[in-house]
Amino acid sequence: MLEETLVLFKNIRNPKYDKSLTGYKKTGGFKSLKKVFGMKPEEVVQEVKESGVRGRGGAGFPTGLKWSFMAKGTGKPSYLVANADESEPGTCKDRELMLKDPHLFLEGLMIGSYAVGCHHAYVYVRGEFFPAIKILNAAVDELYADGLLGHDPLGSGFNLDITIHTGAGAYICGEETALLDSLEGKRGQPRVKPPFPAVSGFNGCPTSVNNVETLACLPFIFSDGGVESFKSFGPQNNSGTHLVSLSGHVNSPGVYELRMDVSMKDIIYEIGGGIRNGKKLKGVIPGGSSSPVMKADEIDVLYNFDDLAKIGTMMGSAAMMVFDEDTDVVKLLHRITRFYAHESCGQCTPCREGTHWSRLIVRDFLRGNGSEEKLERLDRVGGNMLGTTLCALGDAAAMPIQSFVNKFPEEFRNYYATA
Amino acid sequence: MPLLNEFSMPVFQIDGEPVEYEPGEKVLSAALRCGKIIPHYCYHPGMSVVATCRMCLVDVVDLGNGRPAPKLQTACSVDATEGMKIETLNEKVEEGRKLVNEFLLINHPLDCPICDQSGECTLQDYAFKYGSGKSEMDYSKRVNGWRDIGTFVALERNRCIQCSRCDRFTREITGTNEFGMFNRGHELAVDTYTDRPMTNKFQGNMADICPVGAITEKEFRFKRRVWKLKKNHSICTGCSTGCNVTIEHDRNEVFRLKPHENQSVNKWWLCDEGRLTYRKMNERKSRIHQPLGLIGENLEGISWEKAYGAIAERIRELKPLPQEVLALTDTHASNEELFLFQKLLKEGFSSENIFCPFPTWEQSESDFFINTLITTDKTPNRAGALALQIKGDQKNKKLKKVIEGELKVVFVLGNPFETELEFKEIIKRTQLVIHIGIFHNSWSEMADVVLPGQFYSEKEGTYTNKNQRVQSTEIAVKALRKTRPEWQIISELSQALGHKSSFESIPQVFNAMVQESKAFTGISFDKIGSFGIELTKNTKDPGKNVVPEMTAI
Amino acid sequence: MFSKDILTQVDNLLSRYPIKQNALIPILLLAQQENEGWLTEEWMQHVADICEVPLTHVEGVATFYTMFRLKRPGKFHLQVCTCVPCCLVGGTELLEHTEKKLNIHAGHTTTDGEFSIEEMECLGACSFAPAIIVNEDYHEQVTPDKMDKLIDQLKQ
Repeated sequence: MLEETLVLFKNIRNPKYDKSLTGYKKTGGFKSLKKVFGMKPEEVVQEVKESGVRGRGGAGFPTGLKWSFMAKGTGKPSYLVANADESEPGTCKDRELMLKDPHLFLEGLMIGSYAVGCHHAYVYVRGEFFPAIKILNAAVDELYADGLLGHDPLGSGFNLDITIHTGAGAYICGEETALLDSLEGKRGQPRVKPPFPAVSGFNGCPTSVNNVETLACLPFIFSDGGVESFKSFGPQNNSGTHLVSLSGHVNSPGVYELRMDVSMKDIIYEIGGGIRNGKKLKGVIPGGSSSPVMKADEIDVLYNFDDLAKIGTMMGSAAMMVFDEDTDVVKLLHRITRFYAHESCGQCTPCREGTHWSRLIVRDFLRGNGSEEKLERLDRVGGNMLGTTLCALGDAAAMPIQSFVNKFPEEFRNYYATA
Repeated sequence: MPLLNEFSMPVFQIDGEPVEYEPGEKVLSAALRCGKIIPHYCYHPGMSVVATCRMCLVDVVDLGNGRPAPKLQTACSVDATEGMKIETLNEKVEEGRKLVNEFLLINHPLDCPICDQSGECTLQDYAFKYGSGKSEMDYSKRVNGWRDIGTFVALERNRCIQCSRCDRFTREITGTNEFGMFNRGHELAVDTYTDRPMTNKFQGNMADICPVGAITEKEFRFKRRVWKLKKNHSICTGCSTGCNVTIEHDRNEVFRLKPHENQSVNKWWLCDEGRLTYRKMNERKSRIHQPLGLIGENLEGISWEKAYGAIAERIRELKPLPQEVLALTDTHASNEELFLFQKLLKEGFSSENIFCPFPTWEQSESDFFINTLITTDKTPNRAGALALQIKGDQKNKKLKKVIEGELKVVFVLGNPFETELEFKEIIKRTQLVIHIGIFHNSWSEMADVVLPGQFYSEKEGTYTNKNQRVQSTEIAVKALRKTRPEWQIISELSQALGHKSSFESIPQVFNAMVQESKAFTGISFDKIGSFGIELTKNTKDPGKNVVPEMTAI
Repeated sequence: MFSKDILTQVDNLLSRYPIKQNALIPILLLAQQENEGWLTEEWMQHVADICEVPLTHVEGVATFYTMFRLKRPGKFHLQVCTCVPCCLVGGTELLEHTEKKLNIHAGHTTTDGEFSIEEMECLGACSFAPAIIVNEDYHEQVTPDKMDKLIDQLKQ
């Protein structure tokens, strides 16, 4: 019987856990930070590289490698920005971390700041997360009061400030360059890369943007034997445990800490308790709404970055949305295209026009005006957004469209076959 | 195939052909400079790169390290590197251009029949070249209401393709931030947000940079189809900056001026005041149409021969001494006109009494280059007059002395000293007043002989701008039948008075000027070209006043 | 405009960033809070002056982000998520139910100004769907019954 592997994030699954600074310290908090302050920043980056931790925000880029790109000797300050703009449909794990174990995340943020030489870190929290913002601000106040933030924390000589910054409602601000523009007080519009944020990011200074959960992995990695232990939780290049947000038609939706070598089938039927109301599974959206959909016969695959990439989909932000046999797939795709049309920033031509157009075509099916020609058109319009846009939102909008059309064509045809 | 490196700058390849680039330059910029057209909308060499229209997608088959780029890249954002290989003619790129074109047309209205941009619209051109020819969009297009954006330009919001050039213009070029981007996604609007007319003096440029007919000049709207317009390269004579322009005309009527790129003078821009100088080019009522002579109490039309003959005869009668002759000119006259006028006085009368007004003028200093384009000196050739050592000062002290002496002959070129009524009263009583001018004014009214000249758009000439750059105009429209260019008039007048020198062409006059005037040494007419040439020696201008950013003029 | 007490908050915000413009969004949210949940042109100009940016810039920012409201909302602003995971477990039906109960469509306010409804994209509470936000409070696993009870509670 598959069970959760409660190691890194056991505190958030413990209803009796005291999330104050005192409570966190009691469970061994800030020992890792003390150790890190005794290391050289390059050594910290190297150890993170060795642990193999990959970005938990959706892209899965190796974190240590990202930090090694930070430009040095520019004469400008370096910044670390935590991406807490969790808006990918299906994802609710960062909020759990911020609500239930804020100090774990903050310690990780401080470790990361030391590694990249950042003396003032920002946490970009989505504006709707009012409870999380309150808790984070209170936690940061606790750290200042305790001397762990501000001038010379733990006698390290490394002054450090943290500011909690709020967004104001835009999914696109989860994209790192759009986040930086938003942090700078502008519209959250993605920037042309190059230059990359590691060279010119926040106010033109070298910046690294990292996901909340990624940073929350760091205290464990820097505990004794942490690197080896972290690597042991998954196959090569897929290290660590991660938080999976399970939602949809399962009996027990929730946020679970799992190893990277468990199969999706087990996650759905053993952790999730199977499909509710005794129904059969129709399909799964494996990694947030941007990932290509999977049919019920494809779920015998390990749930990690590489195994899912091999079968043509992605794990993304580990947000699994399960839907049963009664689900109207066309309506589901319509809701997805509506989401992307609403969230497109509008800068570049393919995304601005394509997200809107594709949504209108799917709506046409729902209104009974579908046809084979329109189905092909939908596939074509979706495909035209792939690889031609300024940022990944175009790809994120294109992949669900193409995967739904190609995997569930009969469902679309049902809408006009009877006509 | 090895690259023959006879180029002085580093080289990369586009479609197998070598292209030079400057380190740090983008692929698109280098390509355009070498004449290789890669279609684009949002890129503009004078503004920041945003890479949002996605029209300039190219296939980078070799990034310079042997590996291809994983997907099509926008040429405007890729840095050119040694060994890079770009393809713009293969199927992938064609597909890319086709899809961007299709996406742009799903909301763009089919306004070509009523749109001014038709004929010079890149969306139209690219749709014709790369489009699929049929629409697959079954749904209603986005429709936006009217917005009043300014005194000089009009906005058709439905036609906007959200290239954001206008937004970058008011932010980076004029610094006035009147435009912005509003809303998100397919509602994205680039305009003034509410009916807040712009007040900057460079609005016409926004119509130029708009790749479609969303922003158009109110002056030009609905007047003429652009494919009927003939174009001539010239300079604006509205002030001493001498911005390069194209005079666009049809059947001898000038319809508009557009800026011509000259990185040493106006870059890509032209101010609205300058654009409006086209109106004077069409002005006919107040023009002097033919030579006039005083017969009895009235000025009546006479022939050129009679005019020259009458002047020569009168001068033989009066036998004026050098101090009894005076020549007045304004600084609208070209270098050649001033040079010949000065020569007429020297050779004909051994006189140096040639004056023009030199009031103080202001040149602004600004963080935004475009603000330095407008000066308070509204004449194009003050620096030329100074270089040729035409006399004059702010208070006209020397001129006053000459006028108060006994004057017998006064030559007036143009309309100098317009407000000096005292001077005019005295000169009125002079025995022979000759006016060479273009428009009727108080000088022509008091003259004994009036010789009609030609406006800038009708003649050749060179003018020296505020930075001592000599630039030339070319003939754009046909002059009025019975007028002659002033340089020719002065040369013929000289001949009629029995002087030796005569000139047949502008280059001839120019090269004589180079020989005889110190300030013009070291240059020649053929060096002027399209971009002008700076004088080798700088003449001091005591009336120049540099002020930090002017607001209202 | 901002009262003296709030101005100290504003100054504190401005001090946390290297450039005043960087604090624009938090200050604009504060302004919205002070003005009963929406932004007027006056307030936008006030914030523009504080952050030393042009008015068009603030307008551009205010029209970009979903949370900035340019119309007065109800006293209780019900933000109902109907995005993918919530949609799978009854988010759309919840919205329709709420619209029926209050007799207004999403995007509108009741005539007495008490309630307004807004349809939202993903609120980040997906495993606890359907989720809604009332002003600043999250409510999760909301059924139509729960929604009825909540509205009745708020009415008092």
